[in-house]
Amino acid sequence: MSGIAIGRLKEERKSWRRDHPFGFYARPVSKGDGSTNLMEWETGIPGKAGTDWEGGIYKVKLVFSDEYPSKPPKCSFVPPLFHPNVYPSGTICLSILNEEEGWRPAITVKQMLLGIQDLLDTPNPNSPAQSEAYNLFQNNKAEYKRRVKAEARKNTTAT
Amino acid sequence: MSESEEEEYSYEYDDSDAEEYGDDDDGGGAEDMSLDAASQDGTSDDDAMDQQDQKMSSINPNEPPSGFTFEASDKIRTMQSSQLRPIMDDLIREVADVLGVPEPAATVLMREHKWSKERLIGSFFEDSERVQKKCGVLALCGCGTGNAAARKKGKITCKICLDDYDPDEMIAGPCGHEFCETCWYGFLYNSLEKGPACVLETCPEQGCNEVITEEIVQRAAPDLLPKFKEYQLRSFVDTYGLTRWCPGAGCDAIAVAPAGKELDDIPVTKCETCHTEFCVKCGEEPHAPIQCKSLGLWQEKCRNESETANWILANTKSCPKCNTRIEKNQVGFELCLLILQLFGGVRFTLRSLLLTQGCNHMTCSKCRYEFCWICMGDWAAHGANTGGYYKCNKFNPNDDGNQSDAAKAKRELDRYLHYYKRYHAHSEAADFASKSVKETEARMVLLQEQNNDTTWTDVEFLKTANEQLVECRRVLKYTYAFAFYLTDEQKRSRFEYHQEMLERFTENLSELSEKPLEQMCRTEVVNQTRVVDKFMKAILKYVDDGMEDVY
Repeated sequence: MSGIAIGRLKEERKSWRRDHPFGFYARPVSKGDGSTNLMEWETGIPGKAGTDWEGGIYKVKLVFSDEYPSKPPKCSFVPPLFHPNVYPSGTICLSILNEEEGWRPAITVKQMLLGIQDLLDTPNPNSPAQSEAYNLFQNNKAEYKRRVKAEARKNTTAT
Repeated sequence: MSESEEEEYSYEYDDSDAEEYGDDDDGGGAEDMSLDAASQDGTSDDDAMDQQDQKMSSINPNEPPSGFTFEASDKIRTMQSSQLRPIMDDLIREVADVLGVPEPAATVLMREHKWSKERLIGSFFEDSERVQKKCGVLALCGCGTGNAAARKKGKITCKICLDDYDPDEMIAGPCGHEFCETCWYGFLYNSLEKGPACVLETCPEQGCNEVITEEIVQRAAPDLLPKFKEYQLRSFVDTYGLTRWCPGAGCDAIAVAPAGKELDDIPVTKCETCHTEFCVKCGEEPHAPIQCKSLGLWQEKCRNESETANWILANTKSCPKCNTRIEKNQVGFELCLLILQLFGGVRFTLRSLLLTQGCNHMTCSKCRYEFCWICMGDWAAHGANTGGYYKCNKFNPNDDGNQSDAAKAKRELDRYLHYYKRYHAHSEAADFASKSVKETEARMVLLQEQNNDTTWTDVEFLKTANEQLVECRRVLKYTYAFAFYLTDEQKRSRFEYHQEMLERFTENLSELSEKPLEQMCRTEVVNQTRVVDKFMKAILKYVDDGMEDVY
């Protein structure tokens, strides 16, 4: 399936511009010379209304490889996010983004971002990725909530 | 053949012969396996070579005729994958018929039920839709909703490359999810690259758990079909409880145990292709008297323990006063933590471990005795005159030897080491004996040349003795692993008595058969071979019978 990464990403870009979920943004990064690098996207994911994450928009970087869409892009929060399933490096631990688990070639950027948005308020305690957020989530819900709200305040502005 | 001359001897000889050549007669393909089975039934007396065969035929002499040819066979046999495939296909075909599902779906259903027809049929008729859904063949079985992919007019967008295609350029899986030919091909190609797990691959659509079967491979990537089918067969051998790959190096034969029969505890077979002997249950070499499960535990223990044992011996010493094991932190923090995990808490703390780093001044955390790490003597005697606090010139390595250790862990470790050493020694001896087969052959030639009227069969007793040695060493090896797990004191001491006898007989045979040729006494070797063989089998039977008193 190699060789179709660029074509597919062009189409992804087109369809995103045509229609995308409210509050999100996603665009390929621009290179120094004004052209864009389709293999690397900057995206923003808003916290769902009614959750502690509401009000924040969280920056996620997607790095695609030539093997996309056979293999998923690498997705990470920039800067790293306080969340049980986010590694200290910012990398997101989510089944649909894992080649060995739930990744399918038909998963679109839109579906990925919606999946990550879902993950924000429904962490998966079975695959902890950072000790701080995980321990608080398991042992001290009040403090965890406080830290999440702080995280939301920190990320209020887009871009 | 020697049986005419040496009757008792021929008993033993017959065995190996029948095993080696008997199967060649019926070495036909899987197609005529029913014939094989019939001929085996007829000649079962000749073939009854090892205990398991005797046991099987005595348990169930007349296996009722069955739909599958290989179920009629009453012993474990080895075959090539090309011979096994028709058996797998038959199995699938029958299940597909019974359940009324397409064959590709039957393959998946059977795999998910470990190839147990009974289990699959049982749960299938309880709730067929649930089973089909769970196994990812709901749509393939025709119950899915998306099966009738709506044939739209105009262009369709492939959800993988996001290009637009005419409807006839798209291929839909049974679940109705369609993708363009190129993307399907790429997807399947990638999947096969991942190896045997490709048979578990599901539809490229998110959230769809419809399993990829040979049906879609046939339509979207026919050239990949043979490879896919090969992986299917592999998966069959791996998950079907009655098959096992021959562990022989580079050998891809498969051992197939007869279905519908209770297997022996340690069902041993000999590969017809590379002549490797192995246990069909666990794939290890024959390991009687120890059971597969205990053997696994033992091997695991040997892997873990070798590290621990070496480390403890190298890095700890006992307090000269109270014999508590003390370790000097020469190897870093992680190992201190490991030590704490193993023996921690009572005898010393992490702090006490770390404090000792670099300095030879040790303080036993239990009795507060202060001593020197190097010479194990009283610290009070140390100072500038002994070479400073970081050196000790009082060191005398011989003094080290008399430190007796009362720690329980040490005793347990010693117990393990006792068995391990002997297990290891016999293992080495077995390797040595099997390597000396060539040498034995050369000796046989020489022996034959000594006497003009000696025939080759007259000297074959040497080969038999050598083979007997290999087998005895192997059995002895596993008797030590077995004895390690024997908890009953009485049984163990009795077992160890027999073990010692076998050891003695084996050494005796080894000595006799290695004598210089001019001193070689054929009758002696033949007799000893027979005695050893009998005795070994008696021990194994004794264990088999539950080690109750048989006197």
